[in-house]
Amino acid sequence: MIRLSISSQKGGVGKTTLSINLAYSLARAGLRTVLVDADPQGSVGLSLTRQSRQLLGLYDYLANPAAKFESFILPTRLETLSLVSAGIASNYADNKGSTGAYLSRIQDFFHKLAAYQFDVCIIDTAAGLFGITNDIIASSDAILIPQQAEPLGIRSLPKLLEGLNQLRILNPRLHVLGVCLTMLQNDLRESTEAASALRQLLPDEMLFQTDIPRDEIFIRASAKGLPVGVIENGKKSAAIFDSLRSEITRKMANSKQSNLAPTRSWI
Amino acid sequence: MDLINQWLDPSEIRRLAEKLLTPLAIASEHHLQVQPEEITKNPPLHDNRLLERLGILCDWAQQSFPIKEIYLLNADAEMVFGKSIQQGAFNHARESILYTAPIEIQNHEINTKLTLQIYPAVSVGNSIYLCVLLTHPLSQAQTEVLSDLFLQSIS
Repeated sequence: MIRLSISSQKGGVGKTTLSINLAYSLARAGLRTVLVDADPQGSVGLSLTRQSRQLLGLYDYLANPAAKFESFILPTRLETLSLVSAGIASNYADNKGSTGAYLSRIQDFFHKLAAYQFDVCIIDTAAGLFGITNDIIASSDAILIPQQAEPLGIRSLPKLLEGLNQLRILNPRLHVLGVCLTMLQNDLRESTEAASALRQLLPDEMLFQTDIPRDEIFIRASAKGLPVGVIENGKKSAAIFDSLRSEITRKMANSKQSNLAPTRSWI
Repeated sequence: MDLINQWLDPSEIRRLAEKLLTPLAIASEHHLQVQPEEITKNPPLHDNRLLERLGILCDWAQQSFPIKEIYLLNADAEMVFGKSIQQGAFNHARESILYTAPIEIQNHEINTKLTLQIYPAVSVGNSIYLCVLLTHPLSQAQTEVLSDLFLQSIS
């Protein structure tokens, strides 16, 4: 099971939208996918299940690893897609603890999850690189960074890059898949300029070619608790995440790291 | 770019990004021209090679991780070489091992297996420690010999 964290330094960059729709795209391609909501705010759960606050999830496991593990995995109407919510204990979760405090429990959590024969685990983390989020990233095989295409978002980039370099000390096998531009507005000069600047600042191999536009269809999908691909007129937007999925697969196939080698079902 | 240059140093961003894209393990392997995994595949070595092996492992570990201190532990995780650290912090850290590599050694005084472990001792300030743990108990005399070798290998 390949563990892919979706993480950013700044909040509100479309991380949850990307996580949900990428997980859906992977599952539709036939990969056994589990989407883990690691954000104490429970954004994935709030988007996809109305009873998310009553469901046991990741933070309940961290509080009590002896709990029955099966109860954390929620099936969806798509057979190949499962969810792990943030959980009831996430109401009390504090992401300000020191890095490493939950490392072993999180590793244990992923180990148990892998026993369910998932091909890929998408983890929607909280914004910022500290506390539990760092432990989750340090327990991942790869990280994908959504970056909002606007000037304020780009200012957080050096801090993010520094933070990731620090995290690679904890996990030298962490593969940075790259930065994906989100909430791009082609009709707004500041947004296109910011995107252009990012493309000049970062090495080509660090940027995904697929951009996620700002689109009201994502708000409509979230309001209905669905991935964008299953709502009316959503197919075009869903195709963007299929394109992102293809890029991720290529990057993984080109990686020399054995922990990222795609299984046959990926190809 | 003017908009961005007001706030950011492009060369610094490129440096940080390229550092992220550089595989850490490969850099270390290239430097040492040997991987710890390869070391374990080798047949048991002569005394003087044992010293070399421990030295290579310690070098590799220190290149790859910001090692703060180095310990040699016996099979019961009691300190043979190195300063003592808080037992609670030590036990907690042992649950989060970052890297493990077995080492087999054999000579006229010591014939045993060791395990190299690298882990973060989070409760004592995110420090990272290198431990060489003896997988099988050694006699006091064997421990002293190995401790001397170890001390020489990292000094």
